[in-house]
Amino acid sequence: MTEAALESPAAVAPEKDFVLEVRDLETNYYTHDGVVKAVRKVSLEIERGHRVGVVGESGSGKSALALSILGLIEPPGRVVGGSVKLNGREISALSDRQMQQVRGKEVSLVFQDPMTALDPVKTIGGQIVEVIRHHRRMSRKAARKLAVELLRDVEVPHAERRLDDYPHQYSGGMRQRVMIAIALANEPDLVVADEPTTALDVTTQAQVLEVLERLVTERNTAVMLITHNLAIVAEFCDRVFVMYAGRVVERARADQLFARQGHPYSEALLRSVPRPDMLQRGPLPTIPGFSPSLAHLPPGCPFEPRCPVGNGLEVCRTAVPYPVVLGDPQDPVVAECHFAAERLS
Amino acid sequence: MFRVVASKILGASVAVFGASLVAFVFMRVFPGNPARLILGPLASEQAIKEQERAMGLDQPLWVQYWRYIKGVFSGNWGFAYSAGDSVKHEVIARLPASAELGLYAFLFAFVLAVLLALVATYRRRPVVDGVIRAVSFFGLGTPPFWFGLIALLLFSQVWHVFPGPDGRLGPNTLPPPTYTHFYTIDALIAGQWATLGDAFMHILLPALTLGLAPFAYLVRLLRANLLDVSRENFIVVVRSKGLGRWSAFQHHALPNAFLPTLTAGGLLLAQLLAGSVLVEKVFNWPGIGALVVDSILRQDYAVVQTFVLLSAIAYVVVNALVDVLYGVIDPRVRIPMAR
Repeated sequence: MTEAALESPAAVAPEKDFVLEVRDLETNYYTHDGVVKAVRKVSLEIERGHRVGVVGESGSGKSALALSILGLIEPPGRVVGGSVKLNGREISALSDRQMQQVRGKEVSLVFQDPMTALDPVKTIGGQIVEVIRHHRRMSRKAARKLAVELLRDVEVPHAERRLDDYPHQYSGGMRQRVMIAIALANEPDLVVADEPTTALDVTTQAQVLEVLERLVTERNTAVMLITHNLAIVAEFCDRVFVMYAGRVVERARADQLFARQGHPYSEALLRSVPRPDMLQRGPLPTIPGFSPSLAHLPPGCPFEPRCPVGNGLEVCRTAVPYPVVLGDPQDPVVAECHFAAERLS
Repeated sequence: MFRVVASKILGASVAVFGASLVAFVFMRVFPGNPARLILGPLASEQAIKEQERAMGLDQPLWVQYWRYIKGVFSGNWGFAYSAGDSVKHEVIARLPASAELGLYAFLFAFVLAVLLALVATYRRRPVVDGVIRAVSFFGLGTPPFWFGLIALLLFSQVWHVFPGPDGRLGPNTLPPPTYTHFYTIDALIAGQWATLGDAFMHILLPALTLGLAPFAYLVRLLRANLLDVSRENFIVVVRSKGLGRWSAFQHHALPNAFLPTLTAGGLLLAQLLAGSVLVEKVFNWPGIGALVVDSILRQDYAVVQTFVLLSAIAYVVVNALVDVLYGVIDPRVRIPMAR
């Protein structure tokens, strides 16, 4: 199996209006243990105003993908290949100075842990005003007014009064609302939300997601939602990319994926979500083993050692599976599994 | 607000009082008798008793302490028999020299430490970082008196760049008129440029020597904290808003990383202001360090007590300043105000 086999299949329907097109993106971390291939020729695209879920376990390269798109990979990491097009413009080759005009304006980030994502020694208002004034010619006063409106939009109570508070005076849920306000302040075309609700309790999660959903619908903002929580994907996204060991191993419309999974990993992920309609005694199913080290990948399918279908099979141990394209050619399911065709037929 | 300030002032007073008491008691419980030290080994018991009475040493400890405290508040700090002068005169003559030197040493250490820590962490060049780490390692491991001697040898004896160890001024320079007792500042106020230059050249080497270890310590501290903070999530978030690396560093990483350096800086400043024996000896600096060591050896109670009291007050004042600055930088430790 050669590297070339990892190349994406022929581009899908070109006439769609894509906000984001990622082609064969590759990001490596150069560590003492060797080269960690965090993102391995990942391709994905997001249509304007659509919401896409990127799911996978910790260490599957989801966050590295997000940071690669934003051009925020710091040494010892480096984006080593591929292309990122935002609104049709290639941004992966832009200088950091040029990217400073793109980040926070055309694409913005909602970060995972709201407890650590805000600067503890700056006021909430100051941190919102900062992103507004970085991208727009606006007086401090006008920016403050806009910040109050944004806080109202994300349903922070007593917005005006709480503008001069500090992050430690906000609860986790309120901080994540602030993060959403910051991300949407300049009405970007795409919001990359990296585990936006992971650190929150379930009730707060639902509220924060509701706020995010309402605001992106109003503004027709596309969202790339990174999560390991498939329940959130089911509720929020119209398309899903399943990541494993730095690869997108399955991509499909959300309803398709939830009905039938081409990749055994997707199936296992789905099965390990607790479901209130299937209350049964006994432990929740888990995926045995760990994700492989991205510095030392096995020669065959990276999921083979943990796979209920292919574990021990010759073909799975020795050959990296090709992406298998199935179903409607306009809207295919693509799965990287030797048995995808059988499983979906 | 009032209660917080009141409790701080109370705490500070207790600390100063405690320091005065400890110094007082310790000096007296150690073996030895100042009366005998003054009169010499051949003095008769009678004469020693006489001398003890004259110094008030025959009174019970609490009476002696009461007299000492009364003296502190009425401006009578006692007589320094080892120097043959009143303690007040000695302190006024010597403390400014130590304080001026300490202040310069601190400025050098603090400013350079902040600059180098910024360079080391922002540039992220392994070579630059390595050199700065090596310098700080050297600074921490080098005994100041040795560094001072080598500096004198090279810069004064061999290359004649700096004057020798003449103290605060060269032998041909008269002290400037007294305003602050700091020669460099007094010369500046009086407009005596030659004196200013001379004072400055004389203070540079000792300040460098004295500030070397604090500088090395602060560099290491701030560098480590800056590295920690620059790995924080909020730095990534700030960058995702479109800010450049330097903006993120300057406006977000630095304020967050600075607090431990501020605390350490305050303690070092208090310590430096109180003088240093070895560096003062090497450079013939007429500071308070040598006087205090002499006084301890000769059991000159009055000098040691005054010195301990003054350094306790310096620590308390500097720490109060640090507390205030803390609040300016970090809202989480700000004194709760009425909202």
